[in-house]
Formats: sequence, structure tokens, C-alpha cells
Amino acid sequence: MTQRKGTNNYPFRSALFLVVLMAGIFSIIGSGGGGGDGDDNGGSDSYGLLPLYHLRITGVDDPLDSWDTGLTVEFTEDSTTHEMRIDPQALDGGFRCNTSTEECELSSLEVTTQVAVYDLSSSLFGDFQINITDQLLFVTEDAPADGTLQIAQNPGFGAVTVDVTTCSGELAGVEILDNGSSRGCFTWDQLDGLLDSSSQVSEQVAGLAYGILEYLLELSDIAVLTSFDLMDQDLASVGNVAVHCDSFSSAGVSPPTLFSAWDLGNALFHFVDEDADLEQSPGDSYGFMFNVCWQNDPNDDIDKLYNGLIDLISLTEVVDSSDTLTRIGYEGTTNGKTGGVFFDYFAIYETESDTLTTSSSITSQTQLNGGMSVVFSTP
Amino acid sequence: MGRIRPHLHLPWTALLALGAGVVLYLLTRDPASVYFITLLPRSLWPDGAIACTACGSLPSLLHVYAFILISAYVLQPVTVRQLVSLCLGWFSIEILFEIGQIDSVATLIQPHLPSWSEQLPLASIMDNFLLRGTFDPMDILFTALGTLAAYGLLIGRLSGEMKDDPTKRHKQLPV
Repeated sequence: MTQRKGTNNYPFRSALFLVVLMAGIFSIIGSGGGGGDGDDNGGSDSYGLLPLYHLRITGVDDPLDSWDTGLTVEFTEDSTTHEMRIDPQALDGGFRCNTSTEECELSSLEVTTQVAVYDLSSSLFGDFQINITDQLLFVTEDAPADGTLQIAQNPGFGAVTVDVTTCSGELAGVEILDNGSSRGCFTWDQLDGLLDSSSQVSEQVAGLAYGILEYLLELSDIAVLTSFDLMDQDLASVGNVAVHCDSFSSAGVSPPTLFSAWDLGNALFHFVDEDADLEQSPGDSYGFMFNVCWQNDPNDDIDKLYNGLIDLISLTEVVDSSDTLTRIGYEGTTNGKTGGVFFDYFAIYETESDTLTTSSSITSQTQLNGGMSVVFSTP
Repeated sequence: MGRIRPHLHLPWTALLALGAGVVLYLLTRDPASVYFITLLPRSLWPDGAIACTACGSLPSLLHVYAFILISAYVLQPVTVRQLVSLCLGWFSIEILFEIGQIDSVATLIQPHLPSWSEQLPLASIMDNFLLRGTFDPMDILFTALGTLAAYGLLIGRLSGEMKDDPTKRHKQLPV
């Protein structure tokens, strides 16, 4: 048997087949794995994530009260109510994402952050402004590992500085400085409790300021990040989707007195097809209706209960040519409405469960009105 | 025994099938969801996907058909057993990837992809395929049909080779 050199050569053909095999497999993967119905799940609502996004939260005009920008917050604890308006002129952060698992978490708060706080009930410390003067760096999402924020009042108590540090005993926390003079080191738990203590004003302000930053991020988490998860549902066809809440009885406690008839609340997430194109697309809106929705953390006696409405107006979503999400959030305008996340008598209750007495009670209440735009974009 | 001669009909037929598959993808899929389409100049992207229920699984048929023909052209199987192995091999590959798109399977596989693979440019495409692709039993049916069609064409050629030249039945032939 004679063989010509070239294509009839066994090693050559084997190598060529390997190339064909790789091309075949690559073309299967590169096809995106769409289903047979032509309605590819890898469609417009399917994309990859960047490893890092820039988060910006800014206050927008409340459509119900157009001269107020930002959020009006009524905070009640121990029968005392404080009312304030929080205007995040810019809350800038970094948001790191695992592109494989698509889990994202806060990685930093930037020095461009400025949040104005107006004391509407004159029961706090007057108006003040929160600035981040040294990037707050989050290794885990729980608390920053480094950074500084400064609270300035004009006129008033001058500047209070909150510097992330390690307190004695290697406990993570902050050092509070009142116009440059150290007030001492406080662990994160201590900082959290400063507002309701009989501490010095500067210490209370420090606790409140950091709490406000955390609060804005929590609101963004509740409304915006949850909405991104729920968009995968076929909302254009079914209209709304129920969000899971927890039952008091299954946790072994009765509901708080205020909501004694609600053992199991609910939350509905609905879709508003602003451009009437029968599909979810940029410019469309969404909404949450929380009805005594209790979120039980089995590892903690302190839990949250949500009640009220959140409107998510004017979705923005930009995916680049390589199928990567480069911008998402709620901003701009749609159908003459200002885009953003709007809270309409939305209340967050903190509940405390006592499994010994099988009861639960409300320890604090925060009621929110107003709006803010929330956008994640390419850094 | 005959050999499937490396006649140019095979690669041309395969390329035609692949071309038809690409056109189907261009017409029926969101171009941004198909990696190889995103490699094309944006001007070639269609404005929007055409709903096409009947032709949705046709690319599965065309893909397996084309790659069996190309492989046969390259490997030149000389026995029915080799030809069957070739067809079943491609069928298995296609089916394995289809099964990989079942949500429970994909979420099982994806975390076990080696961490070094995250550095490769293909990693995100593989993640996208596993986690966002859609398992469809119709794709399996069409893959089977494509395999049978390719087998039918090739077995005809193999038989033809043997019939044309009976002396070639028991030895491999120079091509």
C-alpha cells in the first residue's frame, strides 16, 4: 500500500480531526445554547457581568412633593420620633461581582460621596453633611476595613471624623474624633448603638451618619437588587410575581400586636409596560407591594418586617456587543415620569422575637417617602 | 473494504449546512446572545429576531450533520463500524452539551470548572452556555435526525465505493 503525503497521512488526519473536533465543540458553546423555540434565554435579558461596577445613588424629586429631593424618613423608637430628609447628592461606591456565580457585593464607598441630612423635627442635631474623605474599603460586606468619613455641620459642632481602625483587643471598629480630639475607639456594635445612648453629641452624630449610609445601601438592596433577580420571571405575560415572606407561627412566635391578624404576609412584584411593547425593556417600570412581609433570620432574634409600596420607574439597561451588562438601574424619565426608586409610605419595622414567651414585638419603625435614582455602571 | 473518499462534495455540503445554520441563527436569535455572531461586524446583525418556532431546533440538526460530514472527510472511515462510531461520537457530544443546559445539571457542573479556566477568554462563554442556555428535548430529536441524515449519506457513499470497486473491499486504498 502506498500513501501520498498530506491528507492521507494518519498523524496529519488525526491532528486535523482534533481541529475539527475543537471547532465543533467551540461552535456548540459559541451558539449560546439557545433553546429550540427561538426565544433564546440567552436573549436581551441574558448577559454576562463585569467584575466591578460603579454604584451611584442620588436623590430625585419626590413626585408627590416636587420641591423635596431625596427621602423623608420618620424614625420612631421608644416612643420618640425623629424626622429627617436624607438627600444623597451622590453616594458613590464600588460593587464587585463574581462573574461565574453572578453574586455581587459592596466593595467600597468613594470620596465623591456627599449625603445631606436635614433635621425636620429639630430633635436631632440640626442639618449636617456626610462626606467620605478616605475611601471606605470593604473586604467583606459587613463593615469597612479601612477609610474615613467626616460629618460636617454648618454652623454647629464643626467636624466629626469617623476613622475605621482596630480597637484594643484586635476588635474592628472606628475612632471618633470631635474637631480633631479623639472620643475613643468604638466597635461596630458600639457605633450601631450610639444614637440611642446617652453618649456625647459627636458620638451620636457619628453613629447616625454611618447608619444613614448603611440604610441607603439597604434600601437599594431591598428594592433594586431584588428587582433585578425577579426580572427573569415571565412578567410580561403573567403581570406580577409573589415574593416569599416568612410566617410567624413557623418561627414559633406570634405576630406583633399591630399585625396580630397577619401570620403570613406577602409581597407582590409587578411589571408596568410603559412602552406597550409586551416585553420587559428599558424604560419600563416595576413596583413592589409589601403586605406585612416579615423576613425572619433564624440566627437572629432581631428581624425586619416590610409594609408599603415601592415604585421602580424607568429601567435603564445597557448590554454591550460582547453581551456584557454595562449599565443597569432606575433613572431618566419615562412617559413623563421621573425615573428612580420611589417609596410611598414604605415602612420598615424592626421586630424582636422571644421564643420563650412565643411572642414578637416591634422595637423600631422607619417610614419612608421620596425617591432616589440607583444606577450600576462601568467604572 | 471501501473508504469514504475525500471528495469535495462532503466539505461543501457541510459548509452549506453550517451556513444555513448561521443564517437561521441570524434570523431567529437575539444576536447578542450568540457569541459567534457578536464576532461579525455589527452591520451584519439583523434588527431583531424573527419568531420561528418550527425552525428553532434546525441548527442542532445542521450542526451535527455538518460536523459528521467534515469528520468523515478528514478521517475517511473504512468500515461501517468506524462510520457508526463517528456518528455516535458526534451525537454523544451534542447530547452531552444539551444535557449540560438542564438547570440542575448546569448549576452542578459550573462551580466545578477549574478555577484556572476563569482566566481563559472562553470561560465566560462557557458559563453563559451552561447557565443561560435552554435545554430543549426537540434539540435532541433534531440532533438525532441530523445524525441519521449524515449516516444515511455516508453509508450510501461507503457502499457505493465498495460496489464500484469490489477489489477494494479488503484493503485500504490510496486516495
